[in-house]
Amino acid sequence: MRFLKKINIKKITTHNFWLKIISLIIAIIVWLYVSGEITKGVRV
Amino acid sequence: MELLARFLNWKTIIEVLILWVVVYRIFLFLKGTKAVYLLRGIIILIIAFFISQKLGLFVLSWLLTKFFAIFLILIVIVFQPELREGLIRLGKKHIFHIEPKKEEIEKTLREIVSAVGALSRKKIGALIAIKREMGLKSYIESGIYLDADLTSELLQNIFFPSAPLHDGGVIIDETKVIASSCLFPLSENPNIERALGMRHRAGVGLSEHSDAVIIIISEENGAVSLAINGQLTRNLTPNDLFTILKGQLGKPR
Repeated sequence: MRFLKKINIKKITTHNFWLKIISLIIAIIVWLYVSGEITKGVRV
Repeated sequence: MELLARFLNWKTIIEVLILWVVVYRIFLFLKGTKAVYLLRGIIILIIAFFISQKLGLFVLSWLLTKFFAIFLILIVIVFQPELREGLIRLGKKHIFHIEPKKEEIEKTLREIVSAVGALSRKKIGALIAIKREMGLKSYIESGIYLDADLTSELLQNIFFPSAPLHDGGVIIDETKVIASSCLFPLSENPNIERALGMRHRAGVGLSEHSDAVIIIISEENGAVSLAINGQLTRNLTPNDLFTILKGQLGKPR
């Protein structure tokens, strides 16, 4: 619990907030694109 | 729906999380560097490529595909030092790199300010660069590698006029003195006063080329100046210096 107290959750989420959100969006787009390409290849 | 169902399993979530960390680390690496403009260029090219494909502009699409291939080779050539440093950094640091604690940063800043105060009183010239996000590898390589724990005494000793390492600048990263006798690029800014010497020009020059914070001590009058993003702030007291440094470096990266 002491370890958890030391981790500042608010700081972790708010620091570079928009960079984290943009990174997440890009990660999801990349995953969807690659997943779509792989599925397309399998169907052919 | 099929895609959504596939998206909601643990393997996919792990894959997306890993991708997220990788993309985030790349952005953090690029943030504050000249490579940001390159990233913008790549994004514009990708958008142009997709638009030309959707609109059926095949000639433009073909040209963009060919150009993109050449562009990728160009990136590797032009950004070879940055890419090398990025790969080294990836190998050296943990993905979830633990930054030094706030108290450690404050202690380091106090040591720096104490050294600056002592050097200023003795009118000993000094040039100290504090690294932030952007790498300073090429400048570190131009000097003598130290990787020593930072103390006020060590800094004073380095800049002592007859010491072998006193020429050039010192580079500090987190709580370490990474290198001394480093060569910094000279600023070509015509607005810098002519009365200021090479040390000030080198300090401003490095601040133009990187996001580092540079402290300059004049050997003529012991005046303390600070260069950040090409801007020089002169005649600082130790208290002013500590406040500015704390504001600039005291927050987590």
